[in-house]
Amino acid sequence: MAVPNSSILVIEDVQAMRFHLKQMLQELGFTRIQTASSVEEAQLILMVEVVDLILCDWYLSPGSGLDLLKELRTKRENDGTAFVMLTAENTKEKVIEALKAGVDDYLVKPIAAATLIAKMTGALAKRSHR
Amino acid sequence: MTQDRHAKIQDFVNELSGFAKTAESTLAEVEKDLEANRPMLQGFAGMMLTIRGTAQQLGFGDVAHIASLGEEIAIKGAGAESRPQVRKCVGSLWDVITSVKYLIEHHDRETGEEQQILIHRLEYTLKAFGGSRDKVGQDDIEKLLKERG
Repeated sequence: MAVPNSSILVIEDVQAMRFHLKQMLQELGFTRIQTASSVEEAQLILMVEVVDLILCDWYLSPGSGLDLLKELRTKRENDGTAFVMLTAENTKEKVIEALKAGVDDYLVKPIAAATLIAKMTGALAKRSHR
Repeated sequence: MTQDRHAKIQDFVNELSGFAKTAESTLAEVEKDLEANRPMLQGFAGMMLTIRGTAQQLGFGDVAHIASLGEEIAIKGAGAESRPQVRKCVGSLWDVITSVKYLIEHHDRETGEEQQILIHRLEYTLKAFGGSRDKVGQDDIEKLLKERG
């Protein structure tokens, strides 16, 4: 799968960060980018569309990225959706919790464009081979 | 700095200031009844984490560091067993929020000696409460991912 053609859903409750990530992804060549500020908004998007990759913050208000990840992993139609957590949360306990829940990669803020593209490419490749 | 980048940083700063104000209100609420409202410090810790993440992305190192200490002290306060312990945590968190607000508003200035003294004091307080939780870096996460397979 050509990475720039992949559909991406960015879920981040900090508006300035959401815009920053979208801009970063656009500069990396992605054109199919949607954004959501909450789990609820993301769920509405995912009800009508299957995306290739979700880039999600951990703490959202209300809800959490972890809750959304757990929900997604129970649905067969989302088997091909890669899930990358992008958060400042770096306690070992929480990271392990996300890994157990089936996150494809876990990125700790701050994030550089080069790392982001490498991780997203890896996660997309992993999911497309499942 | 280009006008676009300046405007972008200003958007971040405005939003960070909003989080800091919310955190300040939370702290004022906790102070009304230290024992009953102690669990609200979990929410305060979450706000500090948001501030930390955003500040790190912007390269505001001191804001991120102080917010990180505030996050850990708030977690200690939420789980504290005695009222004096909660009071000690809340006292430190007022220093955190005052400093974070100042540093966000004056993000283009150098950090002063006062902030460094505060950082040492907060580190000392956190140490007295048993230290920070076990944190991992990106390299540790890579290892954990490989171990999971």
